[in-house]
Amino acid sequence: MSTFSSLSQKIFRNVDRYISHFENFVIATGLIFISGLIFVNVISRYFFGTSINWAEELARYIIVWITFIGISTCTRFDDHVKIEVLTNKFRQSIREIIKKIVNVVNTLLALYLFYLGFVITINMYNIGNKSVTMGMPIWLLYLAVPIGTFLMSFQFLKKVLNK
Amino acid sequence: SSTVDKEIVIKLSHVSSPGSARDLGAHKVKEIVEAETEGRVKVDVYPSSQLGGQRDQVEGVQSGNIEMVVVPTAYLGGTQPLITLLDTPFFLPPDLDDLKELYSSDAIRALLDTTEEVGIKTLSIWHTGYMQYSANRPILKPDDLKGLKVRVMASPILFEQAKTFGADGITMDFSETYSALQSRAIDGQENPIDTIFDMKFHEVQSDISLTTHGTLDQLFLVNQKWFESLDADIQAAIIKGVEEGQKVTVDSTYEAIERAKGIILSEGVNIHEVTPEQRTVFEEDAKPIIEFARNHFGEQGKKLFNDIEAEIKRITGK
Amino acid sequence: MFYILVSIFLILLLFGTPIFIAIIIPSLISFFTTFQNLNETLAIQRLIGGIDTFSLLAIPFFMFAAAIMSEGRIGGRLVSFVNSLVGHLPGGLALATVVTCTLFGAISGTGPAAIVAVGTILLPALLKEGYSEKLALGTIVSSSTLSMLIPPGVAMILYGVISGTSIGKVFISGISVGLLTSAFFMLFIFIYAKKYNLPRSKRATFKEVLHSFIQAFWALGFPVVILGGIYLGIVTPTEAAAIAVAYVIIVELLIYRSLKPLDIYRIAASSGRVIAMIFILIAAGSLLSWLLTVAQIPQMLVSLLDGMNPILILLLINVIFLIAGMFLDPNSSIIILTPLVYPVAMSIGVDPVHLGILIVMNASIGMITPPFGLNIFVATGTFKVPYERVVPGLVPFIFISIITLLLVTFIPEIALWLPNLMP
Ligand code: NA
Ligand code: NA
Repeated sequence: MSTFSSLSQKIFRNVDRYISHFENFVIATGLIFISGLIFVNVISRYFFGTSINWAEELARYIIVWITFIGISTCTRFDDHVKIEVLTNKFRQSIREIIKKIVNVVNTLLALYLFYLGFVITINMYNIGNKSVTMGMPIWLLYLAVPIGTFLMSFQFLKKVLNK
Repeated sequence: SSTVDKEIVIKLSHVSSPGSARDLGAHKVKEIVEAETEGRVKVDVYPSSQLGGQRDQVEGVQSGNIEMVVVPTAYLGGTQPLITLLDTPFFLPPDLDDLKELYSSDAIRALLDTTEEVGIKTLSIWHTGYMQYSANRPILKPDDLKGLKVRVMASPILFEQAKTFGADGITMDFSETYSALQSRAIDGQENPIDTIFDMKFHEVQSDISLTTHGTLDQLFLVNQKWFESLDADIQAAIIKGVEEGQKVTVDSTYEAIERAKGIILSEGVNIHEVTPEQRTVFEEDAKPIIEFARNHFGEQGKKLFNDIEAEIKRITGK
Repeated sequence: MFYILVSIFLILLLFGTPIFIAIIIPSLISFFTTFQNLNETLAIQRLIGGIDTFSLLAIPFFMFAAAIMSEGRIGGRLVSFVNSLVGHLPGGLALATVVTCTLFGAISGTGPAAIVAVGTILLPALLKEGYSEKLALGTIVSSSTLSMLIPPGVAMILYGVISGTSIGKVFISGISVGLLTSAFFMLFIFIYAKKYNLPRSKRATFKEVLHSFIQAFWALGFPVVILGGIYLGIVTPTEAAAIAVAYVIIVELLIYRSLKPLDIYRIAASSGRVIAMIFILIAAGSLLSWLLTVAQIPQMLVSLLDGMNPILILLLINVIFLIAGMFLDPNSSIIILTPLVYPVAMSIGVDPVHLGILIVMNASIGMITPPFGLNIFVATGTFKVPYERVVPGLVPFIFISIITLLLVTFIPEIALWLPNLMP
C-alpha cells in the first residue's frame, strides 16, 4: 500500500513537473514571440513600408494565453495578489484551517471556470467565428480558459491535499 | 400575448459616443418601442462600448447576452465575412438617395440575411456617412496615397484597397490612432467627416479630401432566437423603432457632418472637393479591388456581389 | 442582494483569497440571483474581453524589458549615473525617482509601466541608500500615476473621444496638472527628507559624474531610443514598449554580454508570471464593471447629482470617481461614468477640458487606492512585496493627490491656462 502511494506520488510529481515545463514554455515563448513580432512590425513599417496586419491581433490573443496559463503558475508559486492583514493575526493552527478552506473554495471556483470555459469553447467551435484579421478560429482563443483554469484547479487541489 | 406581465428589458448597445448620430438613433428606437408597447418593454441604451469592444458586441448579440447592437459592418468580418462586401470602395452609389434605394432592395436584403447563418438577425442597415481620406496632404488622385501609411479597419477588402492605391494599410487600435497621427507614425486614415471630428483626428491632420470612396455603415443586429420568441406586436414595435431610428441616424449624421465641416474649417484644416474627373481616375484604379471583392468570398459571395452590382446599375443607370 | 454580494467579496478578501477570485465569485453568484437572463459563460467572455485590448500590451512589454535590465547591467549603471547627479541632495534619489517617473510619463500612456521600468531599477537603489521601504514604494508607485497625466495618455484620449472634447487641449492641460502634481510630490519628499534627516551621499566630482556617464552610455540609450522613437513618429507608445524589449536584449546580450539567450527565456517565464497575475485582475475587474453597468449602478450614483448646487456637483463628481476608482480599473470608470456626468457638468457651465482633467486626475488616484488599485497589484507582482506592505506608503501621496485635485477643482485656471494659450 505504501509503495503504491509513494509510486503514485512520484507519478504525480513527474506530471506536475511536465505541466510546469509546459506552462513556462507557453509563457516565455509567448512573451518573447510577441515582443519580436511587434518589433519586426515596426521595422517593417518604417523601413519597408509594409506592416504585418495580424501582428496586433495575434499579440493580444497571445497575452490572453499567457494570462490564463500564467495564473496556474502563479498558483503553484503562491504569487496571486491577496490581502493577508487579517489572517496573519490568527494563531498558526487557525491560519492553516482558513487556508485549507480558502483553497477548497479556490479549487471549486477554478473547476467551475473550467466548466464554463469548456462550454464556451465548444460553443465557439460550433459557431465557427473567426478572428477579423488573421481568420484564426476564435475557439482557439477561448481554449486558453479551460486549459488554464484546469491546470490552476490542479495547483489549488495540491494545496488542499498537502499535509 | 404573454400571460406574465413581467417587463421585458432590452439592452441596446453601440460603440459611439452619447449624443452621436447612432446614439440619437438608438434613443429613437427606445422611444418608439417603449411607447408602442405601453411600458411592457424597456430599452436601455449603452453607448461608448460600455458593454465591450468589437468582438464583445458581436459575440454578445450572437449569444443573446446583449439583445440588440448597432455596429459597423466591419465588425462582422470574423462572424459573417460576406458582410464586408459592403466595404468595397468606389462600388456603392455616391449619391445618398441612390444609396437609400439600394439599401431597401432585395439584393441588399439577401446579403443581410446571411447573418442568420450565425444566429443573428439583421433588422436594418443604418447609413452613417461616406468615407473620406484625411492626411497631411490632399488626396485627389490615387497617386497621392502612394507611400502613405494609412490606418484602415481590419478587413481584407480595405487592405486590398490600400495596397492597390499604393498606400500601406496599417491596422491600429482606435486608442492609439490619435497619438500615432500626431507623432506621424502614420500619415492618414479614412472615416466619415463626423467620425473624424468625433475622434479628434482633425486636430492632428492638415487635409481632408472628399473622396467619398466608401461607406462606414452600421448594422442593426438582434439575437435571432430571442427576437423570434417575442410577441408579434413587440416585434412590430421593434421593427418600427428601427426604421424610425434609421431616419434619425441618417439625418443627424448629415447634420453632424455639416456642423463638423464648419468647425474643422474654422480650425484651419483644408477640406478638398474631388471633381468628377478626379473621381473617374479613382474609379478606374479601383477596378481590381472590385474584382478582388467579387471573387474573395466564393460562389455565394460572387452571386450576392453580382446581384448588388446589377441593382446599383439599375438605380444609377451606370 | 447587492449588499450580500459586497459582503461575500469583503469576506473572501479578508480571508486571504486571491483578489481576482474574490471578485469573480460574487460576480458569478450574481448570474443566479440578479442577472438570471444572462448566461454564465458571459463571465468568460468578459474575462477575455477585458484583456484583449491593444493599449494594455505596453504593460507586459515594459515588464519584460525592466526585468531584463535589472538582471543585466543597464539598470545598475543608470542608477549610478542618476545618483552621481542628485544623490547629495536631501532625499535626492527619491526626488530623482519622481523626476524619472515624470519624464517616463512622456513615453507611456498608462499607469503601471513606470513602476516596472523605473521602479525595478530605483527601488533596490533607494533601499540600499537607506530609504525606508514605505517611502521608497510610496514614491515609485504613486509617481507612476503621472504617466496618465503627462501626455500621451490613454485615459485622456478616452475622455476626449467619449465627451467630444479636444484631445489636444486635454493633453496640454495634462502637462500643467501633471507637473504640479509632480512638484507637490517632490515638495513632500524634500520636507520629509529634511525632517527625518534622510541619508545623502557625498557630492560626486565632475570626473566621477563623467565616469558614470560613460559607463551608462548604452544604458542611457534606452530612454533616448524610446523617447526618440515616439517623438520622431517611428513608433506608437505601445510599440515603443516592444522596442524597449528589443533594445535591452541587444545591449545586454551583444554589447554588455551580461546575459545569455537562455537567461532571456528564464526572465521571460518569470515576467510572464507577473503579467498573468496582473492581467487576471484586469480581467476580473472588467467582468465586475460590466455587471455594474448592466445593473445601472453608475446611473443610481449619478442621479444623486440631480438638483445640486454647482459647487457641490463638482465635488460630488470627484467623490463618485474616487469611489469608482477604489473598485474599478480607471479606464472602465471613465467609459462608464463620463457619459453620465458630462451633461450634468455642462449644464452648470464647467469647461469640458477642466472636467476632463479632473476625471483623469481621479482615474490616476484610482490606480493607487485600495482595494482595487492596478499600480498596487503591479508593485506587488514586480517587487514581490505583499499587498499590505505597499499600501501604507501610498497614504501621504493619495492625500497630496486629493489636495491637488481639490485645488484644480476650485481653481480651473490651473488646468486651463496652458490650453487657452492654444489657437
Ligand atoms: Na503619459
Ligand atoms: Na483603486
